[in-house]
Amino acid sequence: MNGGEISSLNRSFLLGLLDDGRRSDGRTLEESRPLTMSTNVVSTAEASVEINLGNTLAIAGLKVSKGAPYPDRPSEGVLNVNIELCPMASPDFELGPLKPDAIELSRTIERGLHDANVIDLNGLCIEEGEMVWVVYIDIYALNFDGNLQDAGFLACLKLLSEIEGRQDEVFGEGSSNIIDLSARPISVTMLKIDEHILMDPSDEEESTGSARMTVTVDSEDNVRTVHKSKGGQFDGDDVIRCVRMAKVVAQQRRDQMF
Amino acid sequence: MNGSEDVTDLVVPGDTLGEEGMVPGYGTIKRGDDIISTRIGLVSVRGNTVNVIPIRGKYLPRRDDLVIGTVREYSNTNWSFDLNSPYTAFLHFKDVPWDVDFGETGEYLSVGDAAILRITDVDVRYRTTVVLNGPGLKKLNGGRLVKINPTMVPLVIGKNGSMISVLKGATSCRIFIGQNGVLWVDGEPEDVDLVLGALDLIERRCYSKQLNKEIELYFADARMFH
Amino acid sequence: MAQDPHSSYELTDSDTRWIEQMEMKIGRIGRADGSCQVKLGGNNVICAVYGPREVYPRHLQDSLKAIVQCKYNLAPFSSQERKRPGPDRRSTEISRILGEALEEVMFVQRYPKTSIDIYFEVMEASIGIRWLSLVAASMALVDAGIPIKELASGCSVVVDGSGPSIEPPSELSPEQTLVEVGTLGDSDKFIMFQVDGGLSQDDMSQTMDVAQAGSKMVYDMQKEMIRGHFAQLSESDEEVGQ
Repeated sequence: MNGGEISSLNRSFLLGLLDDGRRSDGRTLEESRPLTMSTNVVSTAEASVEINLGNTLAIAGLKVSKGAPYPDRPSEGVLNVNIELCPMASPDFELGPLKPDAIELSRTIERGLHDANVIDLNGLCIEEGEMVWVVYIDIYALNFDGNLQDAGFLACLKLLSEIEGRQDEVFGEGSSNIIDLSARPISVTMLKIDEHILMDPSDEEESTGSARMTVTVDSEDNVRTVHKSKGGQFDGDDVIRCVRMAKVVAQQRRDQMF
Repeated sequence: MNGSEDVTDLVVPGDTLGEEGMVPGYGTIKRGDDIISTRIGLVSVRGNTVNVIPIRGKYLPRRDDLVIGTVREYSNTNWSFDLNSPYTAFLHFKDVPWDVDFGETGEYLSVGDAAILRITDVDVRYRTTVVLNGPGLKKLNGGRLVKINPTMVPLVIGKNGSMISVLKGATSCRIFIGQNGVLWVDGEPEDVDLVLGALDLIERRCYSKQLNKEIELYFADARMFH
Repeated sequence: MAQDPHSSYELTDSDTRWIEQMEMKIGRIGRADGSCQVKLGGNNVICAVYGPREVYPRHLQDSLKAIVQCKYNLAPFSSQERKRPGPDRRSTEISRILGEALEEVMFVQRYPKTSIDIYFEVMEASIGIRWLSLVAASMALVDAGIPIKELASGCSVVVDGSGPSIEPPSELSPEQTLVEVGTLGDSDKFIMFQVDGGLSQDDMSQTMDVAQAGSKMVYDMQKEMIRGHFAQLSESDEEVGQ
């Protein structure tokens, strides 16, 4: 199936299915696609992961280096998340306009991680005003079938969990508390199409729908971050439904990852 | 059923084919005295000619083909259609079953609409012309569009339409298949799913000499669990 | 065989053991028309092909043939020192070299006004990444059903005082010369030829022999791999069905 230019026939067909509580890949509206991850796929990164969320495939690597801090935050290190929308990932990417917004995706992921306090930026400081650790996470989207938001976030989570146990090695002795994943935050993204809320949208669905909502839930079932994107409107009921659905899927993903 | 014995005919680009004295046909080139395959596909020998029937590749428009296209854009006097091909097709506003005035094109067919079309002309640069007026040609409503590998179209149609009849009969779906690898399927959702499953099976088992039997089995199994 | 390889070099056990480790996986990128991932030693590259398809941007269109657009990119985590994302001069140069080599094997005249887009994303780069990328591309072209004259193969040879070897070191020392080639199948024709370092006339001849022998082994592996992949696709239903 192609995203981008979906024919009106298929659009009507998709909407008809939704009215019956089904989706074109056979899922229910609340179901997420299968999630698989394998680590250590690249030996040149401090940590690496290959993630599959349905047909969405990305390979991400974490690297650290020393650098100067931002002038307005002299005692803080930096976490830099960068999502790359590789032209190979979709026939629509090379054309430009139909591409997801990589910067928005990257920023939302960074915010989700910060709001869950997974990384202590002050702990990354080596010499105030002079030198700090910079943690780079580069996520290469290689095959796109929607929801890079969650795929990217979960990849970051996996990478951080890979180095959580060996922070001494990565950041030097005495650095055992910089990364703290005890909150086990999980990102869950949903899409609104007419009055339906769909969990973990595919590319075809993202092209059809309007508003998107990403919710980050922690292990105590608290909502840490909420991000609405892509125009459209959510009303109060929608938000409540989203949060309810998100908590279920967050727990499933959490069980799988930790 | 062992799959591998059915794939001895599979050739890859660079393979030498045929015997001395044979003539290079479709999907092959001559290199010195040898005939070489340029495609991944199945060898088919007709008389003295060695051909390779590709199992992968894009659809290139051919005159007289019936195809399913989707409107990409339109002007005051014509529409351009996506044919699931590197080449788009043009439909002139007079070649339709309606009385369309200059500038009214969008009221009859707009972006995203699909239709069964006939290709009437393809020039040397693949500039392609289609018509919508003619037997069997029409704008499509309802149902859904499915894309398959265009090289599989002959298999899905079958000898004298045998395979596509089986698909229609077993599912009560209305099905139309375009030469460009786009199908239109209309029926109950469970039946449409069955058709999709059958198409998937055909693509994967394209080498099999037992394909008809396998499809029969597939539908028999499906009926059992229905 | 279509053409007898002219190589008089016989691969050593260590050469063979090295090349045998090459892994190739076709079809990883489902959205693309064709794709292949290739890994060997410290190299890991994914190639995906779209085409022939409409040219974008339109003004680059050639009314007489397909244009070949090749984009080679290194992921920031592909080397020990993080590389900033985005094209650099070396990647641009490699894009051009690979594009020219691949155009040699395609029939661009058959698809006027279209583009054949070939993308490389390198996950991990070491010595030999160029010829491995070429191999990945030729498999991706086959997967895409784009007709080609022959599979592009290749090999790299490192030459120093102790002679030529196919297995590369992790880093080139100043006394070592790297020769990296792309070949038209198992023939004696080179579609890519890169030498980094100095090479005497004598060494050149012998090195080409070694490279050709290596390429032939790679070529045989490619063919087997393609057949295996497409046969396996048709069998996968069997296991599920039984």
